[in-house]
Amino acid sequence: MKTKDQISSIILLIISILTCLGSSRLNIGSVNNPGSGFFPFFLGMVIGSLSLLIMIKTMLGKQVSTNKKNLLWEFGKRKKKVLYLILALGSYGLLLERLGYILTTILLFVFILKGITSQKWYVVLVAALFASIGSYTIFHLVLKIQLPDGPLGM
Amino acid sequence: MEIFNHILLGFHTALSLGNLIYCFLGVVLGTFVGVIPGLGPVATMSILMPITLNISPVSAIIMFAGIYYGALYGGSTTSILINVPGEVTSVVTCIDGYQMAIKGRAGPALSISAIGSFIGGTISLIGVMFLAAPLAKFGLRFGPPEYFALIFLALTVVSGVATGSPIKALSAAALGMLTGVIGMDMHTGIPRFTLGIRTLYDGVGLVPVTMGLFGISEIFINIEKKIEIEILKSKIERILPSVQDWIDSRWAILRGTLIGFFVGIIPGGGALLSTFASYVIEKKISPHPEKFGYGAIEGVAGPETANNAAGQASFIPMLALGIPSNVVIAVLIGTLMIHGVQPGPLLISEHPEIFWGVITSMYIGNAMLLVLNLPLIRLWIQLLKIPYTFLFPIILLFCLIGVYSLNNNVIEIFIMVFFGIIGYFMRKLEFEPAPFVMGMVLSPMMENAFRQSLTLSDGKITILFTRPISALLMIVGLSALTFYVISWIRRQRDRY
Repeated sequence: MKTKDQISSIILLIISILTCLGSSRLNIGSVNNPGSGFFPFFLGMVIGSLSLLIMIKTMLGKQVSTNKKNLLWEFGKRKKKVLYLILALGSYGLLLERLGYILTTILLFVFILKGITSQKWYVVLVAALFASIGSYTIFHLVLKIQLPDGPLGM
Repeated sequence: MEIFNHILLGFHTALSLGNLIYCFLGVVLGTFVGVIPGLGPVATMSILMPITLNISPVSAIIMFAGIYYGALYGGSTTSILINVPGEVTSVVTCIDGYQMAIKGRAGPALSISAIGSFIGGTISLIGVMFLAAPLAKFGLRFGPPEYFALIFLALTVVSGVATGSPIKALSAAALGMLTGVIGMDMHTGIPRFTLGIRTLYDGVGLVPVTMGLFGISEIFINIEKKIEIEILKSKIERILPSVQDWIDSRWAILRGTLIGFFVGIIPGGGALLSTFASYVIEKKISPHPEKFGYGAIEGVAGPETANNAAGQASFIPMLALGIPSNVVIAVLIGTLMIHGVQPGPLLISEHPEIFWGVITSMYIGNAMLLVLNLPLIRLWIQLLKIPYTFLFPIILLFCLIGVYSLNNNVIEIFIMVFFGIIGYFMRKLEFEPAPFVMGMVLSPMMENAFRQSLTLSDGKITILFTRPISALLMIVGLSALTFYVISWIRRQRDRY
């Protein structure tokens, strides 16, 4: 709890300072005549005060030994998977309009099923083809949702 | 009787073949996503939002409302069968529902929750019908100061309802409000915090944020740990409750209806709070409180009834005042606005077919759910056997398609992933995503109301406290806020 709260309060404090600085460039105005920066500046102050409250709480608390449960990542071995998935989703965004929906989706599924969940190859390929062509049929051909065409025209 | 004409108009709208189909699709889909952990009504509506552009706003809202209360039904199924709440509103159901299932009474538990939900939902709807119109008339007297005060109150309630620390919930709401500020300032045209990204000039979209915070971050959390879903091995023999079950749960169902209805009306209150309230009350007045936690049927019937009653009642602030009482309703309001319909006190008089059509469709939908749910219980059990390894890439794909097709803009995908990461860290640091989204939705309304109030009063902020309604709302909100902070400080002091 303690570590989590310390981290939270520091992050909130940073956000609060950045917000107040950013708002001050936008013409804050006054309570009776607020400018564009007034509302965000006020929010920045609120976030700052909340972060101080959390910080005071952690400082009042007794020193708790940092056992495993206090750490941010309780599942150390698997946090890499999250990182891989974030990268995969980012790449999906970058490639989608270049390669088209079907191809990008196949790549995404191959990456997730092989790279993250380590399935057997034939399972990976069948699932990837099934998911991409199936969803293309449902969403594009039946529901008429626009999906980007690639070099293959689909 | 004017109201009967309205109800007739409603049934006329809701019973058209097209709307019946949308209602049916909505409730089935809602139950389905309610059963599947990690795919909730918010994500589903977000995915479908672009598709609804091709249909009329009435049909869209009928379907979305169906998804919402369908998910309330479905969420309880997983609570009872695998001790994993499909939705937050069914957390309480796990306590006694799962115990009943272990004792081989999954059937009665599931059916009493479906029947209770039906009773709570339909009785609550009668209240909605008679209360929403007068409330909307009252709402017409609301000027900017009253709206500001009401939103302020809603935000404090949201933070108080949160299951974790109220200070963290308030922080999440404030961060959400900050996100709501991003984009062009409506009053001056100056872009704020857009970092030069053009997509952000129109503000951060509700859909990518909710999908990121709820859908994507949940997947991040789940793939990090090994999840093993233990499906109940024991056979479900009896589906319907026995006479004794009925006698045991009849008052719980009635009380749950009342609690759900009145808690559901409060903006920001919503279904979650009503389930806790109902459980606590049932346990307190029960002649045998020791049975609670070991499979007392009242502990299932009460909260399940309450959450559906509250779910229906939460439409009142939306339909009458245009203010969302929870995240799902916020998405519904977004859908109405995409269709060019402005929710608020004028909705009932300007679009009676939407108001009465949606309300009557909810009667029909509730009946459909009751008929559907009992025979479908076995199907949902099968569905829960799909391994998560295959489920999560499909959920991901739905989110990707949904968020992209909104504006055919890849930037939205990046925004969704970004908020997925934010949501992941928020969960790690024990901040809840719901107040964040409420803050984000309410922040532009709040700022607007604030500035208009000042224009109205020639720059005197005291206007918030000189008009009776807004003064009352502000005082209630401020007292709630003071109460949280004081009780929080007191708790810290006791602890150390």
